[in-house]
Amino acid sequence: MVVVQLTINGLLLGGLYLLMAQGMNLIFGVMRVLNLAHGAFLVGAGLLVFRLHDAYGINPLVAILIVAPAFFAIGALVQRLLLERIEASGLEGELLTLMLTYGLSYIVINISLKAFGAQYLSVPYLQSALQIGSVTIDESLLVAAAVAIVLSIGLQAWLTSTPSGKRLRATSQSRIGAMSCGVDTRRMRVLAFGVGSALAAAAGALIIVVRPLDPQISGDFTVLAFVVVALGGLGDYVGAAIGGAILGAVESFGGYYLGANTQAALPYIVMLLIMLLRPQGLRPAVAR
Amino acid sequence: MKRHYRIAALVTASVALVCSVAAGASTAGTRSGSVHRLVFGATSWNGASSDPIKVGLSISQTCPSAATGEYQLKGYKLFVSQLNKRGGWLGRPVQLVVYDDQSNAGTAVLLYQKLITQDHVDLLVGPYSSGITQAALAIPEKYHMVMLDPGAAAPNIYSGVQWNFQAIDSADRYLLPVADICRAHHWKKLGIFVNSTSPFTVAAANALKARATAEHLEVVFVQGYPGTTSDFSSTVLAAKSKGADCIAGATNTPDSIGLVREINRSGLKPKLLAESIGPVEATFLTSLGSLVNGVLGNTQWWPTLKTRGNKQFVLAYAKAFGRQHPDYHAALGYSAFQVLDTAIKKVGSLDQTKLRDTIRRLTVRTVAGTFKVDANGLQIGFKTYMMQWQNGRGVLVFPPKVAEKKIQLPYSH
Repeated sequence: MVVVQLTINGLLLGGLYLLMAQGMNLIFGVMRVLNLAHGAFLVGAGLLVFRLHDAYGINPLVAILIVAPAFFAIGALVQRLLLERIEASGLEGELLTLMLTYGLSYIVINISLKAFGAQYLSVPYLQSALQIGSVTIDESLLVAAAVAIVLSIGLQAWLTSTPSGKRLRATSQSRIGAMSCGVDTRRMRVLAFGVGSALAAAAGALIIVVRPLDPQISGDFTVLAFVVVALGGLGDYVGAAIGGAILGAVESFGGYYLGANTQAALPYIVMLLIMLLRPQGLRPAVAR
Repeated sequence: MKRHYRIAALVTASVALVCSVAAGASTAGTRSGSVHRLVFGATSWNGASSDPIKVGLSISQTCPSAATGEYQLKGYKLFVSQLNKRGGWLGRPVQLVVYDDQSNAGTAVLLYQKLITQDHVDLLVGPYSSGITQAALAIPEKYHMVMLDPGAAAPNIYSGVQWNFQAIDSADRYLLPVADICRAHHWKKLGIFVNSTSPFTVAAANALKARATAEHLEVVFVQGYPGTTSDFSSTVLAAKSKGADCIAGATNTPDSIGLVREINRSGLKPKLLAESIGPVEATFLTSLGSLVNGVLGNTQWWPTLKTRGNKQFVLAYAKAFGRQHPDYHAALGYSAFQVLDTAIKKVGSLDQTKLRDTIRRLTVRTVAGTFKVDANGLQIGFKTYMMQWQNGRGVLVFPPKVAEKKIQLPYSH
């Protein structure tokens, strides 16, 4: 029964990791940009949800409808006003982009510190567990995992079945090819960064229900999201889901049998192993 | 310069600007190199001498410990403000020279060095947290300056010091009431969760374990976890089968919240649930809502205690800081200055050696209780108390002779 409980805990934790990683995965998948401000957006949105709940009694699930569009706008502006201006390509362009998003993360963290303070905050919502026999299922993780799956399916459907999604995929596959077909690639990049930021905000809105947040720990989420994305194959959405599940299971079982101190190191050990043994990720590159 | 390098430079400059704004003090200050220095004290003075006595400190005004550091700083500020209205020390006004250590031990060390060698402060008071104080106290030791430390409860950091004095109850006493309460209720099995990356929480857990053993309680588990832990499901699941009657958490604030949530979700039903740091903080209630009820927490002070000047302190704090309530860090900060005040009046000067020798022998009744240290500078006067959340309100419940309300046990949700 312990094994069943650990498996369930691991899968639910994996859902949370998938939720955390989706925004970064989309931005990297389309633009090959590793957004180092991802964690800062996530935490900033989470703290905003706390304030909406604390001051106005707004349900965190409803607050997603407020923070996601807000961060879409912020992400779109960041892409349009800052990232689009980086004209270098290749390694130089990637380095400049990394520097820019790294600096941006500090700006967002300090704005969050000024706006929300430095203490850990969480929203007292979905604090119970469902009981099925002797197995308990954490409500908040269940909802986070469900939202992650819904968003993943929605994202996949958008990318494969809608004209805008197909244009986005075309842009990610070949910028020149997409432009020659009349796709406004600049608009697609703005759209991708906006949607990626909105996904980070949605993740933050749910994560603050699961655990306390403080602007200073934003970097932890950026790293964890990167581990999931790298595990699954950069830009691979199904791979990210598998990666999240593996990471969740490793942490869950590792924490029980090896202790919490080892549990904390496991995501990074997993990342090191993946980088050494399978740097392309768990799934081979697939046509998207 | 190429356009994209200009953009990168613009972003870097913006980052620096926002960081300095976020790290800025709320009252008037002066710039000293790249470090923002806050000077707080009487703006006008009619005393015999206008040459101020400078009391230097670094405190966490930004980064993780800022919320608590701010309370301690307000305690300092309140005393200095009242002191200057009474005539200051030795006919001179008193001025605080404050730097933000950004919750970083290395930064605190540099700042205390600066306070002594560049700002030439006359006196020092300590920063917040055991970890930061552990690093910073080497500086007053080196320069033979007295420093009272109301933010450092871990006893091991005072080993071998001569010039630092613990002005807060020692961490190894924080959770001892748990063993006493368990024994009083004839509960036999105790489990302990411990934040293993903080010297203060480790000290609290070790002392509780020793006390439990001495009182013939069976310690059925001691589960350590790093302070960065956010998922407690496996940690709590591993403890669930041990059958603990009472559970104590040697915690800091974020893990105190996570543990209470997970203990409730997992179906673990201890008869007593107590945590060291966390329950007394306002964020505990806002983050957990009704789950707080029944949780016990350590505190070093309470507004209803009948300690000397406590009622006036609470009222003065609310008046000075916009109807805010003090917490025990503010009370301990204020109390540290009460001790300095007594020492300076006895000595009649700022001679550090005389002040040190006097503080070592002093017994001072303060808002936080009776200050007294042993030969090693460790606090032996202050008491530890337990509060409990009852119907969404924090009340003092232990020891019974100072309790506002009776303790409600068993803990249940």
